[in-house]
Amino acid sequence: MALSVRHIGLIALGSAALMGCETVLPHAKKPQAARLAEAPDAALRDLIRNHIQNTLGSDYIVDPEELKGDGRLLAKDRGRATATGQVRLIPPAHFRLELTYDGDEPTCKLLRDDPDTNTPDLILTDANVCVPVGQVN
Amino acid sequence: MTRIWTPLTLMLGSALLVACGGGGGSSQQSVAPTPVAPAPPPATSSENTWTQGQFQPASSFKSLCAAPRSGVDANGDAFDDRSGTLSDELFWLRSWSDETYLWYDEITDQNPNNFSTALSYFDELKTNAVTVSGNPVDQFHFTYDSAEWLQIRTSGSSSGYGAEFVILQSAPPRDIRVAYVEPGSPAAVAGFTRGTKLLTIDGVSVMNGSDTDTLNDGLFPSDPGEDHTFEIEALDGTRSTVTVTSATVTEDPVNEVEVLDVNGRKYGYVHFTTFSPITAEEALFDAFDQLQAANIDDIVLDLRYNGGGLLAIASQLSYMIAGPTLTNGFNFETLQFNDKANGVNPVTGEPIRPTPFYDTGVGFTVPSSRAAPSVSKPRVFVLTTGRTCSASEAVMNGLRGIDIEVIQIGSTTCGKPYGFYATDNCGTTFFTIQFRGVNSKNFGDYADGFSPGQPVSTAGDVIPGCPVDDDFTKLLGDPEEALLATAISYAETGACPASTASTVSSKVASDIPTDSALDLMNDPRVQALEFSRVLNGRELGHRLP
Repeated sequence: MALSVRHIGLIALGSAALMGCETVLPHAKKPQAARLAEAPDAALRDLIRNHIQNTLGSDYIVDPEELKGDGRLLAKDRGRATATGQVRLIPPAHFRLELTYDGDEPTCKLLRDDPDTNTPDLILTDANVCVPVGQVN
Repeated sequence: MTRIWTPLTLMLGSALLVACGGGGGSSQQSVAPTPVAPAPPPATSSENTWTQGQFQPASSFKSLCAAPRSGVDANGDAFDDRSGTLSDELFWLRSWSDETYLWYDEITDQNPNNFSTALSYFDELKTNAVTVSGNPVDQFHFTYDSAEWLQIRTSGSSSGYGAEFVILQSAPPRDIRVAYVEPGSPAAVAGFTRGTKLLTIDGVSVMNGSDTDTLNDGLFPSDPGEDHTFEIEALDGTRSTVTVTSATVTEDPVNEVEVLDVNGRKYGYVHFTTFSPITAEEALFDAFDQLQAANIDDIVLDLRYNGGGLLAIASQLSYMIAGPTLTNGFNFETLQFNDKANGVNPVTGEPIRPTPFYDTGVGFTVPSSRAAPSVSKPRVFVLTTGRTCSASEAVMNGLRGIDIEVIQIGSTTCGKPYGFYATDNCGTTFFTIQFRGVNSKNFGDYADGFSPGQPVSTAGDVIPGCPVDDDFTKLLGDPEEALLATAISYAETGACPASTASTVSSKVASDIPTDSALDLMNDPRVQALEFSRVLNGRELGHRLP
């Protein structure tokens, strides 16, 4: 189909709109995989543990130290069934840290890294505890 | 082949699978981030003073609660809670762990006042050490709401169908099979057998259904008289839809005992499902009376779904296998506490005494006047899976401690040589590992479980045997069932069949995905019972003559 002048005009308008968007966020950074820069202190460990236990339940145990490695965290069955004999469906749950940006302002979030879940994110109150994966301290 | 069915005896209901947790969400929709701020620390005025490395006695903080309970518990016992603070509760956890945790010296001492909940702090009070395989040494660190725990511990029966389910894959695509059924149970009447595959429960797909509440309600009926509809696939591939009514099911700890005559050799086969105290003792005595009379050549002990139970019964079973001569002068197991114990159980205050090989009834259901039968064999074949746990492992370890040749057929056991005393404080019951069991050779470090391996090793947790996948295509006790067939072959030739692992694996389990979460599903309605002797003040080793 040959393009009419009208079509070309619409395409031009669309391009302008896209360019307009580009100018609104000229330096928007993409989200980055992150890790903890240092071993988490007691308060941060407490925060992470409470978040996971509040959202997944007390059957799950985590070691927040894992986030210092590659920014990933495995929540797994703490073994309560050994006391009751009631074998439960407690599949492992995975989390990861991610840095997002509003302009240059970073936000560090702990995200569920499994499909088909609606686990809320945890925003770490001090984004500076996170660094991009691969960044050397 | 002579088949000897044990009498169906009364037993607690099958605990089976419970609660679908996680993994069942159906939406890709992302949820808006929820900023979470750390909980404010307790008021300074209510905090205890922390000095690193210095511990006050746990008793000085015991039962000082931020929200003290009043009245009595479900057993009618009065709560001894007093008014206190969260800091008191956390400092009790700190001192109690320092006094009783098996690896107390591997806990990093942090200021409890930096934590906002007891559970969050409790999770810090454990070792981070790993086994040689990289698994955490401590995989059993948990709590229960005390009211819930009391209900679980004192429950005399449970509702079910009389089918033991196995979760081969806990997250979608799920795979749930029947491991075995109780004879005469609603499940048996409905046509469930070992190997039956569950396709739907009350209309919800087992494989991919997101309505886990419906799945759980169907799998684990809370009351007798509930009707639930299952679409199932039988061993021969035929599909059917059945409605099963839950009941208060009694379980026979010895699910099956047989004498198999194969190629002129007589094998005693015992499928033993739990070391629970109520009937397991008598059931084992009856089974081994029969096997002793049958003059068998080899004994095959099927513990693949046995999560454990009372160590006293584990000791009796071990005696029934080894007999009086080989056990003479040896102990079955000794409990080891942390190095502060100095020969005294830090929880009970009683002297630590080894558990002997009991050669009589211990009084659960068999009087001490009845001598235990025995087949007196220098070797035993033990069939295992990851659900072989605790007291089952203690049997293997205890027999190895007196140089009985334990030949393991199956897969790695759960790895729980440890135990604990359930301890309540302020409405939460805490479980922290406080002791390990060691055999007569002082060996008890098998936190990675026992693994059948070749070449034969006499040290560590790799023991003689053949790795074989569980076989859901045959009934248990069938000489062609993969684990039992392998044991028979090994008995005849002294070695694993050349094609065992790969052939069996591809034949019976190629469609069964592995699920690392299952490694922790140590079944067991059991450890609770295993240590109930302590909870109930019953130290068998002390009260027997």
